[in-house]
Amino acid sequence: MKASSLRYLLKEGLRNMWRNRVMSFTSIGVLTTCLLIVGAAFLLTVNVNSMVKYVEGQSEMCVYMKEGLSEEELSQAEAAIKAVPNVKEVTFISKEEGLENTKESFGDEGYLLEGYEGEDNPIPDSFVVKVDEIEKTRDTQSALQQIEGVDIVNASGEVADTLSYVQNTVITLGTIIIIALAIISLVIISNTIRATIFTRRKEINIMKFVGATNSFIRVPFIVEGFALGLLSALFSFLIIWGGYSYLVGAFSTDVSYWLQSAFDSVVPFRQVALPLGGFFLGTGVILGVMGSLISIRNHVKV
Amino acid sequence: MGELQAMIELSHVSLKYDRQTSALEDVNLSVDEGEFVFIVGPSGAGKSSIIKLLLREKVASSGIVMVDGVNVGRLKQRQIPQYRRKLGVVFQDFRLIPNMTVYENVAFSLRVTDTSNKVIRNRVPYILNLMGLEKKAKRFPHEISGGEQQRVALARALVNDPPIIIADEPTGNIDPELSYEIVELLEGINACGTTVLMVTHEHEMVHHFGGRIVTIEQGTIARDEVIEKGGARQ
Repeated sequence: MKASSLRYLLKEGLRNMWRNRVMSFTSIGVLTTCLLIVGAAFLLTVNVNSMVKYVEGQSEMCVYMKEGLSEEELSQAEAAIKAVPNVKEVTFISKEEGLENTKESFGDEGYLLEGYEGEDNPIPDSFVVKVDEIEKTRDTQSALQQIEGVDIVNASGEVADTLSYVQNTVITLGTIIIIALAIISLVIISNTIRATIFTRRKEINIMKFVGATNSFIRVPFIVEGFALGLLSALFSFLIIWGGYSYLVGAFSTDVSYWLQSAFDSVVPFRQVALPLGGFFLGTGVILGVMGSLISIRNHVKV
Repeated sequence: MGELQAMIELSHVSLKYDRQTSALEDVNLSVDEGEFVFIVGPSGAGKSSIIKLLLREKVASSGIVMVDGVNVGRLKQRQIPQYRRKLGVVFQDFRLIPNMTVYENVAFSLRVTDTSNKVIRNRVPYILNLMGLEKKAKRFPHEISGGEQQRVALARALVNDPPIIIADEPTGNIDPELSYEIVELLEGINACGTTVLMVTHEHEMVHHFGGRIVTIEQGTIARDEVIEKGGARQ
């Protein structure tokens, strides 16, 4: 094929998109909607995961030891704690450090604890334990409780429970949404394609009778599908960028404390822009070209 | 000295749609280069089946279809486009591409043969002029009359300079006075040496123009005769 013919077919594909603008508009609309919902589900999942990570990083368990344990018993207990599954980090806090920390947390009233140093120190030796997965908090807590010399294990079990519940719900809901959407978009896209076939069948037929080869007929359709996919990807990306930035902006200016703390874990858009853009581009172009190929496959054989 | 080869040669051609119904039965027809032939007959007699065979839309159940030295039934799928470029075809329903302008419709015929833009820019206006369509070049098919649409179809058929023009009921969808104009254009094309095969059911018009007339009835050739201009049989 000559370069001039290729240029013509390329131009023809783009021109067809404009000539069949109602159909093109519908296809772009369907494709953009699908990409947007999948993109939104992706952003939601990324953020919930980030939030869980954030809370996991914040949440600690406090293992208080019994009074009067020897150095050796303490180091044995430390080894046992480290051996418990899901334990990430263990920090020893001696009675003295514990007292200092408590004084600090009392702030101006710290003087109240003066005189409790040494023999009278009521704060037990303790270990601060960080865990890998927050949803296993309760199991970890009871495992720690079994260890020789451990008195009480403090853990924010409720926070852990709520958080893992939220995470699981989001993942389940997200999966359901994506599956449902995949089915719906397949139905819509195949209907759009069927409508396209109907309007283009005659055109393809005429081209065949004028002596056009199959590839000559196919190339403009492929160009058209590619361009439709590209445009859909571009629109989806711009819309989701704007929408996400707006939401994040609304969050960050909200004065309420819990929203402020939640904002700390929000994933900034530039961090997800590349994978999201790549996904939109790939999916958009593949669906666009595939749609074109399917729509002409059965109709070039005259 | 061998006999001059016919441009179109159907020998013992039959076309069966299924075991009971056959569209054509043992048809023998030979058209020489430069001839103008009318094919007439009632609808359903098998006129369009002959066109379908020539266009390789259908393959004969038996017999041989030869066009310009090509055994049409033996063509491989990928050879069909090249073969079809030998034929300029005009249909009753014009079959113009609706979303292309008049100019683009005519140029399309050249595009498929990888013709350079320079040639297209020369050839298309020339043909449009010939058909009296120079002022309609930028119009879309739905913006012009039926007679004009058929002239565009004719221009598209001619632009490649094919050895054969096949016209399938070209006047079926246009006003009677314009019909004569179309046939006169076809006669003009024929006068330049192109073989023309025109299928029609309008007996009156055929008798007006005269020439070789092949009558098809019930899938066979009933008559193959030459009629004088004005209607008298020779």
